Amino acid sequence: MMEKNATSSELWDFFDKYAEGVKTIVEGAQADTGQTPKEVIWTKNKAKLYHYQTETEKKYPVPVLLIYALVNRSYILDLMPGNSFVEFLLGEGFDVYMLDWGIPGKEDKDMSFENYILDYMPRAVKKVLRNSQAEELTLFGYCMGGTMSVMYASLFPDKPLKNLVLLATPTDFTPENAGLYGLWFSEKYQDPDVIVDTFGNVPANLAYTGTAMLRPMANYVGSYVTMWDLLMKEKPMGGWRAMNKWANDPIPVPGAAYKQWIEDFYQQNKLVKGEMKLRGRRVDLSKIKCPVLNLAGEKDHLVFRPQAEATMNLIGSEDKESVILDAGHVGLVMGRGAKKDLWPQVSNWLAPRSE
Amino acid sequence: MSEGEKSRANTDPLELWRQWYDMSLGAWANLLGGNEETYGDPYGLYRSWFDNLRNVREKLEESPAETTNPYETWWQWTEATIETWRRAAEIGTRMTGLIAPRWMEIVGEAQKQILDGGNLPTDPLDFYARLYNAASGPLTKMTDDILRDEAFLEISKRSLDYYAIFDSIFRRASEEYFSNLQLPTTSDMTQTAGLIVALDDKVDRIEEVLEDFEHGYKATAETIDTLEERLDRVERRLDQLDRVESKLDQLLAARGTSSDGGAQTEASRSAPQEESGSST
Repeated sequence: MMEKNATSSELWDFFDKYAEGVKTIVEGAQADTGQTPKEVIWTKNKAKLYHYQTETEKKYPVPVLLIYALVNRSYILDLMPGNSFVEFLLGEGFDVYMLDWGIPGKEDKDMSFENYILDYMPRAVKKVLRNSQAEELTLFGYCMGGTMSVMYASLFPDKPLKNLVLLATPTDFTPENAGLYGLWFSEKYQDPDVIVDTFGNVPANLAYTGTAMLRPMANYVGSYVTMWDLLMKEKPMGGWRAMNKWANDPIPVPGAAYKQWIEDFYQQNKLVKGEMKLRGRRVDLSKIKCPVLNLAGEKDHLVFRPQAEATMNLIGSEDKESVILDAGHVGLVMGRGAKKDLWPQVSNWLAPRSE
Repeated sequence: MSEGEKSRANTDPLELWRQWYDMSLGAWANLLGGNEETYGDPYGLYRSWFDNLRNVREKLEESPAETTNPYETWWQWTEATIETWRRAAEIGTRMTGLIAPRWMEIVGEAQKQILDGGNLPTDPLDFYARLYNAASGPLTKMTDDILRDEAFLEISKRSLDYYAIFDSIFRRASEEYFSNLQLPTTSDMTQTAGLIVALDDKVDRIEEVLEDFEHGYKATAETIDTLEERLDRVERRLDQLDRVESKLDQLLAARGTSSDGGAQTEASRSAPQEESGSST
């Protein structure tokens, strides 16, 4: 009788797990992300500037401003308690801010890099300095946010920019170094005007498909194989849920910025050639003189190592360091590997330069 | 035969195997039939697989005991498949050339992974996990090959272009339809949102100017020192002015006194005269 009950209980348990798995697949993974307490200290259009709050004593007077990309959500940098880069930096005694570009609406289709780099970023920098009562700051750019930070640094190379940290940041868009994107975004196969004229902004789902198709097996199948494995073996699912939620939570990309990204970067590689201009101002990376830490992932399938490493030969800084980690694009910034490798590297590099 | 008996007959592994086999053959025949022009023998792959699988089936039917051994069945199936795809690869048609080597890799790897330890996994989850582990690497390479293929990219571009045309027409028609119904459309909403964004931008610029004004006169130790020095200088001058003022007062007082004294002297001078005159 007891054996029967045990079998029946196991069966119900199996069905519960099965139901949970199916629910996750159908509804999408649910998780509480971006939990570190924060205060919005400035807004402009959809953009928000967060100041992260902590009880840890501030050790360094130079604040860190995180600049995220125009694609995907910025909460990857503050994924969940215990697995958050922001939380780590706060714990180390840094004063942390993040510029979140928000979700563009149809009215933002004309937003270009000029708007973001020449109007939004200088304003956010001023706000950070006033809020933290500092005279200098560190700019930390991730992915496209890194490319934007590099452009900002070349146009505003003097004070208040103290340090520049680049994570998975492409500057060289030579097609041979750019993987599948290099091929897909070539003039032969990609006319951004078709998308921009039709949709205004690049629809979120199209942007998501473009990224997911780089690794279709891992994104469309592998992720759910992992889910079933964790579920059936009753392993903690929090990390998977948060990560899956982020991966399946795309946002539209402003049309004008997308057009620039494809034409000026992927098709004409203007940044490396020194031909990039924002409102007539030439973006010359050799003008960057501040200390630079450039981090890239060996397994990154979105930003390849040569694309990121090229920055080192373009900038004019004397104090510059390039670190290649054994991680992918997202693994660089979150997960066990990031906690062990990237986070301490960033903190150790920044600490003496933030005095 | 009753329905129940039929159903039981369908669960016979040999029968299931036969059904699956017939179905698969049909599917492959259809698929490969589309590439007739590129094949010397359009049904070459089909025939090859058919022959291999027929051998497997004959073996299974000759020794039904083996059908109860899933390990052996799986082994034979994969062997047949590998052999078939090896031949397909040799044929060297375009798409098959892309897919076949990877598919052989998948099947070969699957054979290793699934039969790891000499037994088929009893847990279905374990089975699928092993199958995924075996297939993911080669499948990723295979999809990568396809995604880089010129024909695929050409088709994708055209599909996107056609979809864009279709979407534009549909949007335009929807806009006109809802406008005629006097209902707000997406473009109306976008226009309103654009005005709000522009207003937000203006407010932000005003705020920036005010902040710059407020923080532009930020006192530093240096500016305070300079200011104190200037104040000292002003105070010193004020002191000088005080001294000058007091001197002026004294002078005025002295002048007043002297003018009073003069008057008195005049008065005293004239008084005796008057007195004397009057007296004279």
